[in-house]
Amino acid sequence: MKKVILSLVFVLATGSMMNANSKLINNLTFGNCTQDAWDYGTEAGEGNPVLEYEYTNQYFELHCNSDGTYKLTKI
Amino acid sequence: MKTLIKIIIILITSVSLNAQTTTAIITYKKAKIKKTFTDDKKEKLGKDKLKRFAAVEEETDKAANNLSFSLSYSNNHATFKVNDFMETPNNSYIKLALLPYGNGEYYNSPTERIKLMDSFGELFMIYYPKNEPEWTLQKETKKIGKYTAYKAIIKEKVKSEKGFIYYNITAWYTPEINIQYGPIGYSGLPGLILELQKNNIIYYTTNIELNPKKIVKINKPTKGKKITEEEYNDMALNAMSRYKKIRG
Repeated sequence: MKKVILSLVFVLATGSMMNANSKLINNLTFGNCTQDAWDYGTEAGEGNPVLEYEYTNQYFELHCNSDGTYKLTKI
Repeated sequence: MKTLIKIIIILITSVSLNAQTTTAIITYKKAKIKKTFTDDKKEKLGKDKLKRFAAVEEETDKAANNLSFSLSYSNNHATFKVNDFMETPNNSYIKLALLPYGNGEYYNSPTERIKLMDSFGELFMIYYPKNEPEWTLQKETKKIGKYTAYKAIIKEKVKSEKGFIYYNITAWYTPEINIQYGPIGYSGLPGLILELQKNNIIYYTTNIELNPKKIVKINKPTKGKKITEEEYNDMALNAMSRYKKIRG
């Protein structure tokens, strides 16, 4: 489910793929975990966009709730 | 009599040396040679975040030790993918451990290189360009198991947000095994790739079964949206760029 939500964020954020609803995008808020997922993905992907996306997605799936907060797991 | 024995030995040796491998299963494992989340990222990420990320990386690397990959080969076609694994609460990092490059399934034939990939909520057949850069063969050799391996290098470029980034790839291949493939879709060398290093990741051979009794069947991917590697890369690039703009 979380993967779907993150994918949705990407789909919404990808104007070339879909007709993005800009109002919805602007209203999206990102919790700490989502922010960390992006930061982790950006660093681990080292500039390669495919790897950045994949690391972000996997981090999110592993650690984040759908509202962007952290799951109650030890890191 | 002695002459006859000599002739028989020469014949057997000759047949053996020329024996062609028609099927094979080669097992690989992967290892990381350099950590990503080290102290030099403290200023950028902050102390707490770096600590969290380093812990994630540590768990991911441990999980990677439990992964193995198979290159299955039959009559000039091959697939490369991770071997089945069980996802349990104790190895929850295993999917993250597949990264980079170890997710999806690679297919090679003499004319095609495809990666089957479930991503962006969709199944893709990613086609690699046919005119890929050629390997530079080097004189350096080393022993890997019982085989003499030769070094070959190649440079790849990937379009990124800030221009192109370059990857140095080193392969160690052996002409003693007539399979022109290797891990994560790499091919085009005069022998099996026993070891492959791409940036700070190494895929290395742990077992080689030539002409196994088990039937090896290679299926070319048929399901999934056809896309070129460049288009797939652009899709990820656009997604990340748009997000960064939104985030500000």
